[in-house]
Amino acid sequence: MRLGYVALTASATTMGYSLLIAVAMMDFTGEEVLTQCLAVGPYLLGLGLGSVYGDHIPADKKISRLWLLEWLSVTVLPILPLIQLAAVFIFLQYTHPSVGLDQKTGLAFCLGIVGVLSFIAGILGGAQLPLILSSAQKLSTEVALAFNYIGALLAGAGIVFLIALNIPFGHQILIFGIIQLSGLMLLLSTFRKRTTGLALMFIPLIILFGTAHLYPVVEHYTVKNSYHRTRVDHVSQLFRKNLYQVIKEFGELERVRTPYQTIDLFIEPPVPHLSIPGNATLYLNRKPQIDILTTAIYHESMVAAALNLFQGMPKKILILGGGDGLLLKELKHLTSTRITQIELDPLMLQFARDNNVISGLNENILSNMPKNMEVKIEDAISYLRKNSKEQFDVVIIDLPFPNGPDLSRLYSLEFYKMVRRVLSPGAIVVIDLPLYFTEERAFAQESKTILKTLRSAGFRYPLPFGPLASFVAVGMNETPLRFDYLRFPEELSVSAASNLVDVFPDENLTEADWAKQNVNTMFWPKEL
Amino acid sequence: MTFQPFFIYAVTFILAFCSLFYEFAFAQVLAVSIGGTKIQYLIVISLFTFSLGMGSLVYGKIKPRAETRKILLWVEIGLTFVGLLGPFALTWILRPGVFPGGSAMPQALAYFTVILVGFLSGFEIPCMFDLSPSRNGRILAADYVGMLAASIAFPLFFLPVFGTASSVMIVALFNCTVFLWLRSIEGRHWETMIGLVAIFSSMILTIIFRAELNELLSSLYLGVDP
Repeated sequence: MRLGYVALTASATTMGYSLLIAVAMMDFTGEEVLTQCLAVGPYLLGLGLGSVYGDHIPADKKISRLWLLEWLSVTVLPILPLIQLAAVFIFLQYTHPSVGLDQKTGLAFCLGIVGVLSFIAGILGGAQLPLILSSAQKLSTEVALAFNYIGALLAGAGIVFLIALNIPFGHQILIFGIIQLSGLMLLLSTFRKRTTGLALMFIPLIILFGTAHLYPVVEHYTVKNSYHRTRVDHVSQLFRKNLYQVIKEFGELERVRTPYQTIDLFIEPPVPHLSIPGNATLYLNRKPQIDILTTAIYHESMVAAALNLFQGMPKKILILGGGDGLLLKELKHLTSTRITQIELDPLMLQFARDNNVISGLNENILSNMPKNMEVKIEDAISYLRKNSKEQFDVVIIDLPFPNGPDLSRLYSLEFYKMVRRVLSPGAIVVIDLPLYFTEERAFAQESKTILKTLRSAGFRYPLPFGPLASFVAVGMNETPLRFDYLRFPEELSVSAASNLVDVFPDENLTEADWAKQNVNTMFWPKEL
Repeated sequence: MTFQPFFIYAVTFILAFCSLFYEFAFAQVLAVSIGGTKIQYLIVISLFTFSLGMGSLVYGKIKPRAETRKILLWVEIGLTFVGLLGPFALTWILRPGVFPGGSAMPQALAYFTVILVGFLSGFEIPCMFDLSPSRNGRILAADYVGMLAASIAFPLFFLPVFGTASSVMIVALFNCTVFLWLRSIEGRHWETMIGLVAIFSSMILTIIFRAELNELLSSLYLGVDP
């Protein structure tokens, strides 16, 4: 049974670390499917090659080699996530500020790292199994194999559980490391030189606790650096203390990990001698959402556009997303309108309620919610899938940009068709989405795809607007939408008003041209 | 009965490729239908690895009672059908309102499908070992390379080029080819030729109608189109 437990811990931890590496890198790449797939493939390949190696070890050396491999696993595997993070830090230091980790070069680098590290985890796991199978005298091969496979199941289930419980990443490394150490401890009784073995146990123990302690520190430096972008010209500069001093002292980073996303608030101090004002930017999964300097353009113009295009007083408004509470603040004056907000992440709402910067921006609306407003904690897609009876006059969609498969579903044909189901006749939908332009001042392919997706969902005349912060308004109308500039409120700020301008670089596109464009669907995602 | 080594490795590669590919496609459908790509991929991969092991354990028990080739034949029939129909069935059963009551039952059924593919795939490697006993190391290598190929081809090629529905159908047709190869050993050459033509034509049709197949999946997801 002892070796059965070792088989279980070996597979649980090697697979567990491979999955942890992928999950940690997803934060930087934003590519969930690609990162998971490129961790699993090399892991399985490593597993296979490892087992071929394990098979070739002479019978008399099997037990000692098993101990060595298990010791090596306990020692090496916890460092892998830290190596990955350090590699990302160094990559960021050497690349031009415009090269992000989600762009092609950065992505290839990140996925390469995930692949190599998962392969190492696979080799260490794979090499142990044949040794366990041949060393287990009282244990049948089937039972040892069963333990091994249960270990793989526990790895995946364990990580899902740890993510759901919001356990910090450093602690997750520690938990897997302790499980692995327990296997090594059991194996110690089969090791001939027990005193040496016991002494050697201290090395992985120190490495494990050191990694768990260091991980959040390195993560803090890497993430902060990815926002304010210090760069070095030479390798020797990486070892200079003042580099870390600059990263440490320039700005403040507040990070909250939730089961759904990572929330970062990066506060930059003003630089008076360069006339740079201070700012605070809210990032979700490392993508900027709002900042103090531009929030007026963004939320004010979004609400003003929706109310202007609706041509009357809406009875019911639906907000999808918008967990920062800034849209609710903008709609506060509509006291007779029923406003429902659907937000997936309760910790985002809590952050927007408790954080001084964000609660200052939303004027504490989430703590002092008016009676006509309601916030439901639910996934926007599942809300729309279940609710096709209640109808709304205005729908405001303020969801993160389509970085990654989870988010690109919120810009899909199916999603927009579900939005259509909850619209009352004459309803207006305003969507916050990225509009990119080519050098010839035409829409870039990604933007055309989103606009074509909207048209395919039955919104015939999308109105793209906002030269400063881009949005698209759509309705069930049979004629193109137009702003009525005489109806905008007088108190509208200049910056918001300047964003309420149509952008029509592709207005000469014919129906035949539109027919050639891609449609983004949940089951056939397109690059957005 | 002896087999050409190349065939053994090629078949092992295809089988491993198909199995992991189905699981990635199922993970994609589960992520769309239930939500949480990260979580669904984690669950699917661990259930797959676990059921793969359970499959090889059960193979050990039934081996003395059945001929290896016949076991593999049935496994391939099963995998072709589960792989082919899986995404459509999963999308349909996970639509709210299809099953009365909560979401527990349809989700359990969906994960059972994931386990079924893993379980059936677990028979494949021991079967290949028995068909060609002296080449275990290389068979294992072909198996792992097949899985590696699936993990690269699914996100980088098949999903963006064909979408979930047509990708899984193309791969199921590869699986069907292995089934035909196993049947051809009995010497039914005409049957094999007709089968190969049918598979090739189906593949061409799947590629031509890839948009329609993915639309079918969308309709199953949405229910009645507004």
